[in-house]
Order: sequence, then C-alpha cells, then structure tokens
Amino acid sequence: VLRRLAPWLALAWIALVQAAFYKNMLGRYGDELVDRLESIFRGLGF
Amino acid sequence: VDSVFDLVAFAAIGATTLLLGRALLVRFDLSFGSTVIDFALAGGLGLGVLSNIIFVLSASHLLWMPAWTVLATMLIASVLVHPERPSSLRPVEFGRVKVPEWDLMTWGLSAVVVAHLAMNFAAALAPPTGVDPLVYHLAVPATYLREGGMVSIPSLITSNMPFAIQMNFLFSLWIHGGSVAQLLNSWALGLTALALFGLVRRSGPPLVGLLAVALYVSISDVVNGSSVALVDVMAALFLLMSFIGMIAWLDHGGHRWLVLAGVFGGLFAANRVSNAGWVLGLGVALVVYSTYRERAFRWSVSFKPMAIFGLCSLIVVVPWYVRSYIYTGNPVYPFLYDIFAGKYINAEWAAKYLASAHSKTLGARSVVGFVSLPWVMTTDPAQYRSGVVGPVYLAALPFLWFYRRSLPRWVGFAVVFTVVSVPIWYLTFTRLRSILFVMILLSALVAIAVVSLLRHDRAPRLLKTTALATVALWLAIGLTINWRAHGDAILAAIGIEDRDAYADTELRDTGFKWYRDYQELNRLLPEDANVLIFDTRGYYLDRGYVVSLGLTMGMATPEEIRSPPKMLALLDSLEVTHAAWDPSGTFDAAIRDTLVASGCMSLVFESDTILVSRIERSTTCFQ
Repeated sequence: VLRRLAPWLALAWIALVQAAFYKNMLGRYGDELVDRLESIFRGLGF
Repeated sequence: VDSVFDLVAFAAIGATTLLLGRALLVRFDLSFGSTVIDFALAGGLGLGVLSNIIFVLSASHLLWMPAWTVLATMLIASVLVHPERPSSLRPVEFGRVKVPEWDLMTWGLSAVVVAHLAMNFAAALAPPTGVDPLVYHLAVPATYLREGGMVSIPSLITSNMPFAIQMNFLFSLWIHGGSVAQLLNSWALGLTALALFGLVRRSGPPLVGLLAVALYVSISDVVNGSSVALVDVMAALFLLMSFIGMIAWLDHGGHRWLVLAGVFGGLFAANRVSNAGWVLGLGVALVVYSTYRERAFRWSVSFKPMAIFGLCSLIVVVPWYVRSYIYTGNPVYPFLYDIFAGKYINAEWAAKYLASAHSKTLGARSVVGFVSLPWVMTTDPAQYRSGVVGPVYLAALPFLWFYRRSLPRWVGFAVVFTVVSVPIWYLTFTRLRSILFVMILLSALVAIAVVSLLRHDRAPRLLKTTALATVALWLAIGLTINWRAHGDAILAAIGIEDRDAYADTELRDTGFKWYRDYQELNRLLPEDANVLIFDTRGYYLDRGYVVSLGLTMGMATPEEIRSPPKMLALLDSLEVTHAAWDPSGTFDAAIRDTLVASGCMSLVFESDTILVSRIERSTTCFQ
C-alpha cells in the first residue's frame, strides 16, 4: 500500500512546500511584484 | 575606464593565483583526476597563498611597496616551485574537458548558470556598497593600507577578528580598488561552481552537475555575497576544497591530501571565530567515518588523519589568534570574555555583543527550533534574517531516500560531517550565509534526486511534471532575484547610471547618508586629520578615524563620557582632531552632547546630513 501511495504522498509534499513558500513570498514581496508588473505593462503601452 | 582597470587588475590576480596554485599542486603531485576540480583547487589554493603573503607583508609594514611586486614574486615562485615541467603549469588542459550532450535541458541550465555568473560579475564592478564591507571587511584593509601595515584599531571590535579573506581584499585595494575585491568573490563563486559540477559529474551525467550548480547560484545569499565584499562565498569555497581534499584522501590515500584539506580548513577558520566549529566538525567526522569504514579503532586509522588535518588547520589559523591576543589580550576577541577578558571592552558590553549576535540570528535556541529549522528556513527565512534558499531543497528531501542507491559514496562522509557541524552552527551563527557549504552539498544531492525522478520509468507522469515545473519556476524566479539585487549595480558598472549616484542611493537605502559628504571631507580635511565618526561605516573616508561606538563599548568610562574635560583628554590621547555627526541623528548622543557642552568645537563643514567640527586645542579647553 505504501509503495502505491508513495508517489502521491511525494506529490502532496511538493505541493505543501510550494504553497507555504510562495504564500510567504507573495505576502512579503507581493506589492513590489504588482508595482513592477504594472510598470512593465505601462512601459509596453497597455 | 575605472571598470576596465578593475578588470585588468582582477585578471592579473586571478591568473597569477591560479598559476601558483597549479604549480604547487603539480609539485606535490596532487591531482583529483577531474579537470574542473583540479582547476578549482588551483584557484582556491592560489587565493589562500595570496592571503597569507599579504598577511605577512601587512604585519611587517611593507605595504609601501608597489603592489605589482607581489604578483611578480608569485609568478617567479610558480616557476621555482615547479621548474622541471613548465608546460604542466597550464591551469587546464582544455582538450580533456568532455563536452556534454546538448539537449534542451542542458542548454537551459547552462543559460541559467551563465546568466547568474555574468550578472554577479558585472555587478561586482560597481562601487562597493553594503553594511559590513564598509564597516570592516573593506574598511579595515583600507586603514592598513593608509597606515602602511597592520595596526590595532581599538574603536572597531570586529577589526580584531580573523581576517584571511580580507587580506585578499587588501591586495585588491592595494592594486586598484574595492571593486576588485568584489570581483574576487565572483571568481570564488565561479571556482565553487566548477568544483561542484566536477564533484557531481563523477557519479552522474553533466545535466545533474549543471542542475546542482544552477540551484546553488540561485540562493539569494550566494547572489548577494558574490558581488559585494563579504567573506562567505569565498569561505564556502575554502571549506569545499577542504572537503574535496578529504574525499581524495578517503578514495586514494596519501597524507598530502590531508595536509591540503587542513590548509583549506585553516583558511576557512581564519574568517570568523565561529568557523572553527566547522573545521572541528570536519575533523570529528573524519575520525568517525574512517573508524567505521575500516571497522577498527586504532591511532593510525582513527586519529592520525585527524591529527594531520587538525595540525595543518591550526598552523594556518593560529597567526590570527596571536594577532588578536597581541592587540587585545584575547585570542578570540570579543568572545569568551569570562575566560580571556580583553582590552577596549567591558564585561557588560561583551555580554551585550554576544546577546546581539544571538538576537540578530534566532534569539533563544530550542530543540523544537532546531527540528523545525529546515521548514522555517525554507518558508520564512526572514526569521533567521537570512536570504532565500527556495522551495526545491526541502521538497526534494524525501526523494533522497527513494534514490539512495544513486547517491555517490562521499554522501556518507558528508552526512556524518553535517550531523556534527549543523548543531554547532545552530548554536553559534545561525545565518544562511554561514552555512553555504552545506547548501553546496545539498545542491548536489537534490540535483541527483530530481534527475533520478525525471528518469524513473515507473514514476507517475504528473509527479515528474510537477517536479520539473517546481524546479523550472524556482530557477526562473532565481534569475529575477539576481536582477532585483544587481540591476542597478550593473547599470552603474557599464556606465548607464552614474557610479556616484548609484553608490549614494544604495547606501542611503541602508541608512548611510555620508557617501558624498566623505568626498567633500577627503578634499577639505588635512591629510593628518583623525575624525571621531558617529557612524560605523568609515570605508569611503580617506582619513584616519575613530568610531564613536567604540568609546561606549569600553574605551571610555561612564565618567569620561559625561565630563567634557575628561572626554576631551581622552580624545586628545587618541589623537582625534575632528568629530562628525548627523545633525538629526541620535547615534551615541551622550558623547556628542558632552563634546558640544565642552565649547571646544569649531564648525568646519556642514551639510543637511553631517556636521564636522574641529576640536580646538586651546589652553582654555583643556584646562
């Protein structure tokens, strides 16, 4: 059973780490990211 | 034009150290059997030799000589060390380098690595910025250069710590300027990348080596540390070289490998007092691993290798402890105050300094904190005041178990070393930049795990796609982190942005307002001026200076700080001629107020950010 579950547990682990990491990153740098993207789009004429 | 001279100076240092390092390795028949690792070993050894040469010249007050004589001497030494076969002095036999298969992933990873290294290198050409570099990593070598050699700097506690890499920075300043010191860090990262690639390449395809390097160069502390004059990237190179020396000894035997590992271990220890813990960890790991491997507990198997390694490390690091002892009476100043005490600080400040070193990292240590460290370091590194390692390392850790049969033999030794050293790190200086060496090894392991998963026939497609996307996304973000850190510096380095404007803005962002004021003072103040600065960053001031913070840490008694005549008498004994403070600042306000109350100050320069006064030496003032 464990052998069959292992890939899905691994997948869940990857997803958990990514979610925790990017949640924190977006919380810390989200505003700066939005500002920079806005200025890029403005520079492109949108 | 400045950048061109920086590049020429850097190329001269890089080539000379590489040549001498290579000559020494050939002379002592030290070849790892991997072209890229041998190249990195030669470069690392050359940097270590340069550091020791500059230490001797600095301690002997011979810095009045032209800097190029050092390089010329090293070149002559290269030939003398290995006169029989001059042709073997070629740093690399490029014909032996195996070209990897160029599929899309190899191209992509190569592009990521090259982009990182190129951005780091270009940013290193910008004027020096940062906090610690301007407080001591560059500032202390600049003082030595101004004084013609090594001197005690009582008002700067950090100036008494081991300074091996700062000796290379000193030579950079001597030959041209601070940007050359920054370029040496980029060079050290390049050498680290080669060694890491070579280490992984031994047990896997080039793709794995490239992925390991791409992961390592994407760590934000590596990005930052390879373009400013911090010591951590070069120190990590030295410890990696020490580790490689031990791997070579474990694989092939030969005590000379242990000597080389010891020399590199000593070079690593000679950069931060707490680094000695890592070298101790490496020695203990050697005892444990070789005892386990030989299934025997004898002097020749268990302790002799460690004794050789430890003795060589000690020989390299001890001069720095002796220097600290001569200047302060404490070989590990300002630590272990209860045992050694030490000049210029009092017990209260020593305790406060230690507490501040702890609070700057984690605060209180605990078992729970230690166990949760990988999770916290990954998801919220700001808790450690650390840079970002990215989400790949922790995510890939479980795969190491599945693919344990793919792991190279040195992993066992690395695990023993990590088990011994990481607790020491946790208890001393818990910052990501002081554990870069472990990140180098982890990069290798994670790369092996990820590529093993991608090549695993029976692994579900969804899992493989997720792993690939995770790595690709993180590497892409790593490139944006690099541009965010280096974009302005690169624009300044290539002349699109004004260098002074860049340095001024960067430094103001980190709380230092006097970049342009110092330029004025360098014109205005007499050559022999000695300024009491109410800030800690003195690098750009081309005059003697005393840091006011040093007075409050123990150089002045509370009575002296409160009494104008006593304060003036103290400053007179320190030969201070001027004082500079921020009119709106509160830095060491007690000393400032005492000086103002003395009435012995006459204003010589004023701006929005600085007031500079000359201390009058009239009879009335000093009565």
